[in-house]
Amino acid sequence: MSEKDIALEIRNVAKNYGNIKALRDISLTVHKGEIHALLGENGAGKSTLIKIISGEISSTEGTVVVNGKKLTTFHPTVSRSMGVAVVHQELSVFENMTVYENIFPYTEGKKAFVPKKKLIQEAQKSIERFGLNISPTEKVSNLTASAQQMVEILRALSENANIILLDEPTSGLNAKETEALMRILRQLREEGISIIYISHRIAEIVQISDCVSVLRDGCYMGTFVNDESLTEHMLISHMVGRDFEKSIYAKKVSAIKDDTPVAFEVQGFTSKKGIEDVSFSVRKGEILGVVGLEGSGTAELSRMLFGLQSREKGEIYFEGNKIPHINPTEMIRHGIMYLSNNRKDMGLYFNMSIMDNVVTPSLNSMTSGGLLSEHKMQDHTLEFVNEFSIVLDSIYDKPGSMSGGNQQKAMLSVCLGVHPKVMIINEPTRGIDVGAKLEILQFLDKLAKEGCTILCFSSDLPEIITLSDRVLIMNSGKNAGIIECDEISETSIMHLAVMDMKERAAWNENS
Amino acid sequence: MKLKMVAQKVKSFDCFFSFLVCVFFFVCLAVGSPYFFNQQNILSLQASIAPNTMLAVGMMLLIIMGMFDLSVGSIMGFSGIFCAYLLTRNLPVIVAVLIALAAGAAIGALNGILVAYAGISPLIVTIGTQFIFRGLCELIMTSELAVSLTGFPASFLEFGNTRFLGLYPMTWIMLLVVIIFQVILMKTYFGKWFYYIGGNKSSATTMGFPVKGMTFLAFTISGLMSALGGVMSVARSQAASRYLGNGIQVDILIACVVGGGSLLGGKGGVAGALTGTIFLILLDNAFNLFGINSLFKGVVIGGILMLVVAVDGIVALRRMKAQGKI
Amino acid sequence: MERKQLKRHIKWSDYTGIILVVLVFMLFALTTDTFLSSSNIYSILYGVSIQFFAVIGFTFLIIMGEIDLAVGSTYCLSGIFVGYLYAAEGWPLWLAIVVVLAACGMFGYAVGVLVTRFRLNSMMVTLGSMSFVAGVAAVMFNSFVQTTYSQQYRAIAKWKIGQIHWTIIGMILITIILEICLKRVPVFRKMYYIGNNGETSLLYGIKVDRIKRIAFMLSALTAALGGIISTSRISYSSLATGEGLEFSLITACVVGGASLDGGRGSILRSLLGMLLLAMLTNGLSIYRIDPFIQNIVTGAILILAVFVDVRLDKKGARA
Repeated sequence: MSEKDIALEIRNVAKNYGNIKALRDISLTVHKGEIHALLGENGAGKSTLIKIISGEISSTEGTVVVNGKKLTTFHPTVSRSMGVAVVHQELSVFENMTVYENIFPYTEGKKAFVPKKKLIQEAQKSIERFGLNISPTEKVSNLTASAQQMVEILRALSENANIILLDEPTSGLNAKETEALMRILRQLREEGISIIYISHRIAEIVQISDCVSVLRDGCYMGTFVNDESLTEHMLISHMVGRDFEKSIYAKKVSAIKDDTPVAFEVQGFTSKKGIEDVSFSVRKGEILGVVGLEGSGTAELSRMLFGLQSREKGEIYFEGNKIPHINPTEMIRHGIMYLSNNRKDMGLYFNMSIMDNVVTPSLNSMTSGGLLSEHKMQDHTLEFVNEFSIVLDSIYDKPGSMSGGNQQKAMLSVCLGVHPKVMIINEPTRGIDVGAKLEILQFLDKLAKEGCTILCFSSDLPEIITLSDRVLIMNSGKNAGIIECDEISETSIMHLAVMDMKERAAWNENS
Repeated sequence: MKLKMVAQKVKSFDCFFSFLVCVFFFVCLAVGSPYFFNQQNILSLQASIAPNTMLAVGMMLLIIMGMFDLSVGSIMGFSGIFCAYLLTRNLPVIVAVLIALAAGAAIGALNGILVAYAGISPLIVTIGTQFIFRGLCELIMTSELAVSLTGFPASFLEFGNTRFLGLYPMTWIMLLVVIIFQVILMKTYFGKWFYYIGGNKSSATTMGFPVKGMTFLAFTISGLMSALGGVMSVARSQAASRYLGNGIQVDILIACVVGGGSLLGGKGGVAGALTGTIFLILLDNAFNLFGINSLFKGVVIGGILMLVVAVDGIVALRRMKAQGKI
Repeated sequence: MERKQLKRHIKWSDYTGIILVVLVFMLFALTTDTFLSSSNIYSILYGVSIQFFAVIGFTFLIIMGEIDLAVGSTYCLSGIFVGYLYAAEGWPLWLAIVVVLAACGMFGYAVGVLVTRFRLNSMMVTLGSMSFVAGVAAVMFNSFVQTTYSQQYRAIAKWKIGQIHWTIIGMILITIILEICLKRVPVFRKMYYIGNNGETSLLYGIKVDRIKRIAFMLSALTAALGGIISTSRISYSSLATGEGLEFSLITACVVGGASLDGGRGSILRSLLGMLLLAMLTNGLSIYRIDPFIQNIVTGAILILAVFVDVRLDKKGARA
């Protein structure tokens, strides 16, 4: 292909946050009329790269060339004027505005007045193109989450851009909407528009993309043309950088006996949106992995189990007794603890010292004579610092001074402070380095052997396979099946996770 | 079906509630009191509606963006007094008024710089400037200078004392300002920026809207509008008072919230600022005309405000639950 | 190894409030003759000791990132309410006080329920309750004949322990006790956790809503207490009592080092903030500087203190 066909060129781009290298020396080329998938694990740097191209952050080194012109300043307006449109991973619609105002937020040329009628008509057209049923004059706050996501995608598509960046666009969409999106993307490709597509769903990527670039730990691992020879397996091994056979993750051999008493039982969990009648039980000392694609309801389920999100129906039995009120305070009283997947917003106090953080749920037991004892708090904290070999200057520093892995260990310390009997764990090793990852996995295994029951919600399949005695798979808000230890494998899990319900029924009959 | 759509459209206006209450009050007053349409009464209503609405317009722009300005009363007072000072120094009326307005805008700009560029919370900044300029007002009005602040040129007093088609010139100015801002907010891209920023500040930033610049501008406009209100008030009462605009910021905030604004941002409109202000003043008028103890006013206003806020919150909570977000 | 992990860094931005108080004190002490006289210092302390009551609950709310704008009007209402029950209805004074405190506390609790149950912005809600309470105060004020209150009511503020007014002793004791509580008693300590991150606090089982509701109750209760004593001191009811108090309390808390985002501040710090404002008023009047200039200085100090804080914070974050 000639120079002319190139829509976007990234040359030796690097991005540093302080000492952390988020991206190192990335070079890749996107041609006109190409759907270019970007693949990588969480924290591999996909979103950072997207943000550089869309002008939200500047690169530390390297150049970005859009349609033959070099990006000299990094600003959203500049990138947009050069023909770049973007859909972010986090939902970023304006809920207070109507649908058409969300689809067309920008001035066309130098127009001062909003051509309301025309925009409503155009919005109607693009809505119909997707076969959606929303009114252009409806307020976005009245829409469902998936419709809101569609509105955001429509915005990017209607900017008349020739490069469209889509960061996990299908995470909140159902099968029909995803299908419509795929159809439109193919149509746009025919029109000569380039699309950069990020998704966790490898099957989706293989289905739609022309070529796939893989990132791992901020490094570029290569671009692969999507022809007959490309397999999901190949992509995964490039992405995680290891062969499954020789993996550091050893497959678990379950030692849970069938007569072990049930410690934690969930019955009929149902929410207004998403979760439908999920039931399961976990034995004492067992690790139950819970897996599902984005949007399958795993995140909601984990929050509902701890009373962080309201539920319509559902009961929890702990050691045979029903828990009357499902809220965090009550759950902790029963010895059930929750490890958050989001250290920043819900997990650690970034303005308080590490010691203050670690003692949080156990404050009431840190007293002597009714007053908090500094010594007890120090001892309690240092105990965990030593146990996990947390690297820190001082326990009076703030969590922000530690690396991600050490922050994660600190957060685990917070939970373990109350000696929990059941732990609901979310993404225990997201975005941390391999060393810390191994330590945490080993620790969780040890914890379970000591009798703690663990529910592990994770999107990291190898991690689930090494940890779990059994794996529960969520699909479209339902319990799609539980796999016993000796049958756990990437294929068996993915099979249940990606299939739609009809197929699954058939599969269940066959097996 | 059609009717339902119309009803929905009407309800979607942020100032719908306050408009309804205004009409209700208007009818009550018109039917219930023979004095309501009395010319004297209509005139005194105008005299209080016009300046207050100016302040509410500026405040509303900030509220749409999720901020507010507690210094409006002090700016109103300071600019009014400053205008009186300039007028009595024999400056031409138009020059004196323009300088006074510029002074108000400058104070607003100071607020804007401190909030947008120095990153201090609007509450702190505007409490600070409220103290500072209220202090200046008192300082001027308790000095010897105060005695001389009377006897304004006749052409200035016309603002709030002569009538054109039954309304004071300042009422016409108010209507003009409200219409201009309403058109800008509803019809132009520039006006919509206020709503985009107020609705989701982080998205607005990532999408390249000039968040800081708009913050600065909104505070400046609020300062300008407060100054205009101050000048109107002086022209009407023919005197500068040390109490001009004292404590008015709370009334204005309440008028804006009743008029459909939310301190969380993203909601409201200038028409709501007008209806909210009219509501407060009609309420006041009702107490006077029906001979009810006007002291109940605060109770009623406070009660209504709490009700509006609570209903708003309950609706939002229900919606979030229905969408499965909490 | 362990010793090293226990070292603490001194953060200068924590001490700006104290430094400011000391500087202002030194300034007036060194440049005027009368400021340092015991009677002058005593009158500053006595003045502050009455308003101090109102800042107690208010500070708790600020620590948790909430606000109660109704403190000023509650301060005003309580004095009038007691006067009404006592002077117009002829209730025994102690009963009137207990009933008023209970009523105000209950109202504050109701506001807290509104805020926490429906997840409302406390500033919006208390803007309403401020107007509501002020209205009730005005109605009540006009419902009975205003005179100077009898000796019994006036004695509350004048009661002395030894040579010193009880309010001053109370202020010192309360400050010491609450300062220890905020540092060392779990329930109080949890307020800082809530202020720093309410979501995280929920996750770790802290009863966020309940603590907030109680703090709203305390805020109204302590404001009412301050109002009663203040009315007793000036010996008659006035609608001007507590006017703008919410703003001066915010100023005091913030100058003392609290942040409106929550997670910072303490009773001692709020007291220091109040002392600073009181010293400014007092010192400037010794200089015969127009009292209205004090407004200007107060406003400027408020903005400056926060500006410095924001800058120091940014530097801290970068380091």
